[in-house]
Amino acid sequence: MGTDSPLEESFGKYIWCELCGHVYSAAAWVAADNTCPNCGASIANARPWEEIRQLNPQYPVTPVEGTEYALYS
Amino acid sequence: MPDAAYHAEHQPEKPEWYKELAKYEKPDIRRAFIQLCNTLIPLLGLLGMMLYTVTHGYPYWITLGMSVVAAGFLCRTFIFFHDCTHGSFFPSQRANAILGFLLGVLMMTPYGQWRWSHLKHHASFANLDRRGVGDVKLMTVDEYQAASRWQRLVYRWYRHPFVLFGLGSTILFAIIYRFPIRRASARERRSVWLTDGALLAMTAVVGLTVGFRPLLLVLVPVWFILWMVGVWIFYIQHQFEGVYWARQAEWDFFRASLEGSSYYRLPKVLQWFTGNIGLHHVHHLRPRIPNYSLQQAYDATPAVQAVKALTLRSSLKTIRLNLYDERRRQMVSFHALDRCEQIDERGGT
Ligand SMILES: [Zn+2]
Repeated sequence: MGTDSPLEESFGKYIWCELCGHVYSAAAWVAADNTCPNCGASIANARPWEEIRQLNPQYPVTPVEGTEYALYS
Repeated sequence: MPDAAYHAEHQPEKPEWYKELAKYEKPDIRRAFIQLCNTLIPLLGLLGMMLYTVTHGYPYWITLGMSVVAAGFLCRTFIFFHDCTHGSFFPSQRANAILGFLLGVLMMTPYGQWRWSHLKHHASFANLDRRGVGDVKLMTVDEYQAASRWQRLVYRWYRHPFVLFGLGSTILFAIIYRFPIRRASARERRSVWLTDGALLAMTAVVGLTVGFRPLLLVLVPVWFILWMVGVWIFYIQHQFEGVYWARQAEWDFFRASLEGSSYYRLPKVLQWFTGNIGLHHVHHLRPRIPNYSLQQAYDATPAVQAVKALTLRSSLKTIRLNLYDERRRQMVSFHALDRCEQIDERGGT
């Protein structure tokens, strides 16, 4: 499935911030000038939500935006 | 519209060794508890012994001698607190937040607000366009030359080692940390008032039990050494000879981590007391690696071993570096700049 957003293309629809642990949509990151809307982390600290879900299979496919999720719960 | 730097930065393909480093991010409850035990038990024991010496007529220099060791344990405690802010000490975020708050009270440092500013530091380290939160103030040569006489004087005063590490560190921890930062959110501001309240309560309970004077005679030197060492470590992590600093458009995460963050190789005893924080380049690459796994991560990764280490001796030389020269891409001293300005003046007349 194609997307117009290069960020979404690289990371998927949701991005987990390794600094603050919050999840936002790729669109929200783009709207925040390609930074984490919560803590201002750059894309270097961004991780695809799917990567975090692989470590925590109990996490939902669609995370609650703006919520903090532990790296290892 | 995303620019070229943005595209280069967000390339998903990162080096293999960097991906491998993620293996060390998993928190280990057993190791965390061992660290808490081998640090907080001796710390509380030492504080108790110090209290005994001041209440039983021993010479104060004995208490002061013990305060150095106690400050070492408290310094290690600060690193656990720091891990909590990264959510890396325990797997549970709630456990990290509770422990972080309690340890913060011990060190007069409000957990929520410190976490907020520290994450901002990670988002902006070595970036000349994003200075100002959670870092030691650094001016570029151009900014310094454009500054008024008064601004120059204040900056020179601020950068004096006696002010920066002594008086300044005490003002920062004892006074500035007692009040919320205007830019912080309500949650972080609340953490400041809660820490202040807990500090007052702790001081009242212990002070009414053993006396306020003995309590201060014990805590003040320990805090003072901790804050001084703390600011020294913050300083040395991103201000040293050959350090990388760049403007936003050219800022590179890997260069900022490997060249803009130091590897402070300390003697093993000091490495223990400073909770491996000298491996700061590894910490910036993977901020989720807990302190107890940093050495293993370093040992397994040749790319981070290639970074030139700062030693105790070489670190002392950095005290003279005061400004960042963007043209030469290096830190320079006030003295060197003054000399250049004098030569320019002479050349111009
Ligand atoms: Zn964030």
